[in-house]
Order: sequence, then structure tokens, then C-alpha cells
Amino acid sequence: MRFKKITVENFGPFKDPTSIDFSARNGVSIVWGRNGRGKTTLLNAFNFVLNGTVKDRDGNVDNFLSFINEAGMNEGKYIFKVILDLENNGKVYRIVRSIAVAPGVDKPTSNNDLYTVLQVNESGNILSFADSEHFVKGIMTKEVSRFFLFDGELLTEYEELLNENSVRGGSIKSSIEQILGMPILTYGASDSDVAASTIATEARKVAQNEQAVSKYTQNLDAATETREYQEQELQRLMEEREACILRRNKLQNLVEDTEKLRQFSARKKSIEEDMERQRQICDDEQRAIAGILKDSWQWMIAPVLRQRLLDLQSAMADLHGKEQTSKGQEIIIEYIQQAIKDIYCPVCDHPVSPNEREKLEAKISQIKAETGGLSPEEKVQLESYRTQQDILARYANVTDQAQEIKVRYDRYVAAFVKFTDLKEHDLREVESDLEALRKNATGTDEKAAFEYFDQLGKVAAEIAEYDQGIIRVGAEIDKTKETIKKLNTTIIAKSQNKDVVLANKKVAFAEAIAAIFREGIDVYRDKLSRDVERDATEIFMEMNTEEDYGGLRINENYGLTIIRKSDGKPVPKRSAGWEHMVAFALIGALHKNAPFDGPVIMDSPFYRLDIINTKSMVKALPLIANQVLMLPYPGEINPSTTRTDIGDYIVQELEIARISSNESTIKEMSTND
Amino acid sequence: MKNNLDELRSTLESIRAAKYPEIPAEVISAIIEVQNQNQNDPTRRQRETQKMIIQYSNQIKADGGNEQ
Repeated sequence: MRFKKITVENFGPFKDPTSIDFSARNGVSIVWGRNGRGKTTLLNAFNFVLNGTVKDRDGNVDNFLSFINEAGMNEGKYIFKVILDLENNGKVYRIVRSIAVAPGVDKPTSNNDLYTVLQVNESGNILSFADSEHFVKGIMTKEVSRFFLFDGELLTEYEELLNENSVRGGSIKSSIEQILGMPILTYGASDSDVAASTIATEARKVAQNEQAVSKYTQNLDAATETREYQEQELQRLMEEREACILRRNKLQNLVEDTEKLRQFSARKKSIEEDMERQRQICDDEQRAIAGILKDSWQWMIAPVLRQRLLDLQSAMADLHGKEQTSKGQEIIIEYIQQAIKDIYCPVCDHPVSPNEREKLEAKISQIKAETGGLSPEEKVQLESYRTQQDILARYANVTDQAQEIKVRYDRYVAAFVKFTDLKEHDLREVESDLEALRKNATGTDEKAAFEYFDQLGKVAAEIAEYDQGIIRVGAEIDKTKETIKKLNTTIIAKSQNKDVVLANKKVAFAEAIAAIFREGIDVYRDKLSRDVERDATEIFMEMNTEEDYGGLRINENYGLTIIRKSDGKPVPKRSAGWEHMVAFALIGALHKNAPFDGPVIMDSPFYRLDIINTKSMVKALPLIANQVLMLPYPGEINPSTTRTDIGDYIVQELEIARISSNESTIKEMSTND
Repeated sequence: MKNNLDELRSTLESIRAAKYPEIPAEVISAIIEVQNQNQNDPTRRQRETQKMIIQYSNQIKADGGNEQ
């Protein structure tokens, strides 16, 4: 069987008709969706169209009213519809299942005001209601559908299979055997028994007036009455137990919601802190840039000033040289004048003669004539140059801050982009998750979580009590059945009536058929166990990353234990993630051994796995079925690594996008996301 | 995927041939088919199985013979 297309209308968050087209190619279709967008609704859409049933997140079954789109409801549209196009055994089918408002009801206020409508079109021909029902029930029974349409929580139920005395485990075992075709044998045996019993009852009616068997017929009436009472008691226990399981599921959801709320709140706080850090960086850099820009004129005109300073220094050079020469001559003159005055030359170390004095005075006149020194105008000019030089030197040497501003500006932009990204993307998403969670949760503080744990413990104890009761009453029923069978046999055997004798032979014929089916159960079950163990091991080893894990071993409940390579012993305590992978391997193996095939639809199956195991499980997806539709939330698996891991097996990627708080749609996903 | 009931049929045929040769092979095959076709319809499944058994058992005679 292959799914071709599913369309939902006014169902959950999907108000307008919304479709998923399945590719004709084998592989994995991925529909990404954040919490509260409608992933679980899609799983429910498959369950609804195939089984006529829906289950809300609290485990309430068939609360159809809660699945009508809120916006549609406000517009007076009180119906919803799911259409599934599929191919099965070479024929094309369209299954349309919808909810309609009961006659005489204007606006439905409870599920009693609604009813379901089913229509099947087989290769263009509309089937009758009875044939439609028969077809839909035939392609995938409700019990079998749990292996095709499942979520992460369902995978956890398979841990019960390891508890050989668990009634819950027994119930899952029964579902497993359904997918493997075992009911053909078990019901073949029980229905043949019923046929034998019917033939025997008819014979007993003929024989009951016979004196020889009257004592046995009275005992048989009493035993039949006991059996009816026991079956009623069993039914009561089962119903009480189911109610407990519903309560347990609700409590588990509340505990998970509390944990999710804590995680989301912590994430929100961390995002807000990060945003504050980025905002602080923006402020700091902005302030620093403003500070630098305040004096920016200094380094902006520095190159011009530097050139001006060079020009000035060049202009000053002649005047400065003249001033220096003049100063040197003045010292010499002063020295000569001192020698004349003292009549003694300290250089020659002897008294200055009048002749020499004359020469020295002539020398002074010569020096004065040769070097006139700076004129008064030149002195003023030089002083002015010097003042300008001091001012220019102060600003011409200011460091260029442009690079610093660029670095700080880049830092500011990076922080601003990060801040905006956090605000517009991360914060908005986590707030959306919180909103979705708060909308569903009734009490999610830590104190409440402790109460939930406490109540969970009590419910678990109640379930265990009911389990024991069911086992006890079940054993009593088997005993009574055996008594009834023996009494029937005795009545027929002791009767002298010819018709009864013939009926006796017919009973034996029917019982022989029942025996063939009954004996077949054990033989076929053994074979299936071996096949499932082998195939589950093959899938598990594809995912396995532990060096010492060598394979899986199956128990009577189809529970699988990981076996160590080193000593051949079971791994004693497995983490929740490994349990999850084993359950996944089991489902893959069941699909390989089922007498029919079909697509697998999985809603958020990875939430208990770490990164490495998630990666391994993602890689193994194409192994479990030809058509796989996965409904993960971003963060559960990494989109880009998933693309690498599954590669060509990805046939399409879609996403559930929010239109408004009560409306979603499905669109093609950009692989850049 | 196996996609058929051959293994299951063959398992029952081995048991029938070895231990219950007086039971016709066809009745077992017919019941397997009835069971497979009506898995989610218990009433119909039980009724059709019984009909099949009665149909075959009606060939049995009171004096020990079988009409077949």
C-alpha cells in the first residue's frame, strides 16, 4: 500500500484545505513543525481517516469537537474532513472521512451533536457504506495502525515488553502479533472452537431431555452462568484499568509539560541575558565611537597640519641659521672684548700688546661688518613662526583613529545583528513554545510537578492491582471454559440419540480444525520470534555506536534485550535513549515480517535520544519502510545533518507554518533554513 | 516485506498433514482466507468461519463414513 496524498480541512489548526503530496519515489518525507503548529494533528488525521478515531494530547479519545478549527468554528463551519488518496494491490482509492452535524442541531456543543461519515471511491466507483467500512478496516486495523502511525511516547510503551508479567506488555504483544498475522491463527482456533461449541450446544439441546444426561445439563447451565459473571467482572477490571491508564497518561503529560516549561523558561532567560549582553556591547561601542568622533577633527586635519608644519620648518630654516650664526659671532666678539678689557689673552696665555689690541678691535669691526644678525622684522617673523610651529606640532602628531572606529563599529554591528536575531527569532520562538505549552497545560509549577509524581506513583500501584485482578479472573474464566467443554463432551458422549452421535463427530471435526490452528500458533510464533530477532538485530546494528553491543535477543513478549559482544550477556540497565532505539528496531523488524506493507508516519520520535543516537536512528529510517513520513520539531534533529545523513532518501521537505494563533498551513521548506 | 500468507499457510499444512490427515487441506486454506479478509470484523469473521466448518462437516455421516 502506498499513500499518494492526504488533505485536511477545518481540522485542528488547518482551516483551509491543506495537502501533503507523497512522492512516487521510496524514501523519507519530512514535515518540520514547531510545538503547537499541528504535527500531532497530522498524525491524528491519518488515524481519523483510517480508523475514524482521534486522540488529543491528554489521551482523550474521539473528542471530535476539540478538533474543529477554532477560526472555522467562529465562522459557523462545524464540520471537518480528511481525504486520503492511496494505491493498494494495483487499485487507486480515495477515502473521505468527515465529521457532520447531527440533524436538528444548529451549533454542536458536545460530541453527541456530531457524527462521522465515510466514503470510499475505488478506481472511480463509489463503494457502499458497508463496503467502504470493510475496505478501510481491511487495509489497516486499529491495532496494526499503531505500528504505522506512532509517536515518541508510543515507543516508550514497548519497554513494557521486557516485563514478562505485565498485562500492558501482554496487550502490546497482542498488537505485535496482529501486525505479524497471528490473529489468523488465534481467531482461526477460537472461531473453530466457537463452531464446535455451537454444534455441541445444538446437540445438547437435543440431548437435554434424556434422563441419562440431565444431571450434566444442569451443571452446564450453572457453569455458563458463572462464566457470564466472570466475563462481566473481567470487563469491569479492564475498564477500570483503562481509566487508570488515561489518568496516568494525563499525569505524564503534565510532568513532561512542567519539565518543558522549565526548559523553555530557562532558555528564555538565557536568551534575554544574551540579548542584554549584546545590548550592552552596542551601548559601549556606541559611546566609545561618539567619544572618538568628538575630537575627530584633530586627526582628520592632521595630514594637512603635518604638511603645513613641514612648509613652516622649511621657511624657518634660513632665519634660524642666521640667528644661530649671529649668536656664535656675538660670543666671539664678547670674548675678544673681554681680552681687550683684561689686556690678557686666555687662549695665547700672555698679555695683550697695544698692537694686538688694535688687531682685535679691527677683528671685532670685521665680524660685525660680515654678520649683521637678524633684523628686528626678521626676529618678529621668526618668533611668529615658532608660535605657529608649537601649535601645529600639537595637532599634526595626533594618532589617526579611523581604524579604531572601524573596529568598534564592526563590533557594534555584530552585536546589533545578534541582538536582533535573538529578539526576532530565538525569543519569539521560545515565547511561542511557552504560549503553546501554557495553552495546553493546567498546572506547571514545580510544586505541582511533585504532586504529579506522587499521583503517578499511586496510579501505577492501582494499575498493578488491576493487572493482578485481570490475570486472576482470566485464569478463572479459562477454568470455567474447560469445565463447560468437558460437560458438553460428556453430555454428547452419554447421549443415545442418533443426531447427537452425528453432532459429536462434527464437533470432533471442528475441534480438530481448532487444534491445527492452535498448534500452529506456537510453531509460527517461534518462527516469527526468530525472524523478528534477526531483522531487529540487523536494524539495531545499523544504528549501534557502542563497540560492545553485539545484537538483540527476543523474549516471549517480543521484548528485545541488547546483548554484549564481550560476554554474551544482556546489558542490564539501558538508558531511555537506547530503549527507544531498540523499540525502533523492533518496529522495523515487524514491518519486515508483516504479511502486508504500508507507509510509516512518525511524530517527534527522537525526543529521548542524544545527538549521536538520533543521528544513527535518522540514518536507519529508510530501512523500516518504503514510505516514511517524519514529523520532527526543529531542534529535535538538526536539519542540515539530517540532509547529509539521509541524503538521497529524502524525497521532500515541508514545514508547518503558522498563519495566526489558530491557523497553520503546510508549505515547501527552503533547504537554507 | 513478505506481503503474503504463504509461510503461515505452510506452517498449518505441515501440522495437518502430520497429525490430522482426515481434515481436508482446503478447509484450512478457506478458513485462513476468511480470517485474513475479515480481521477487523469479528462478527463476520466468526460467522464465515462457522459457515465454512459446518459446510465441510455436513459431509460427515453418522455411521462413521465421510461423504467426501
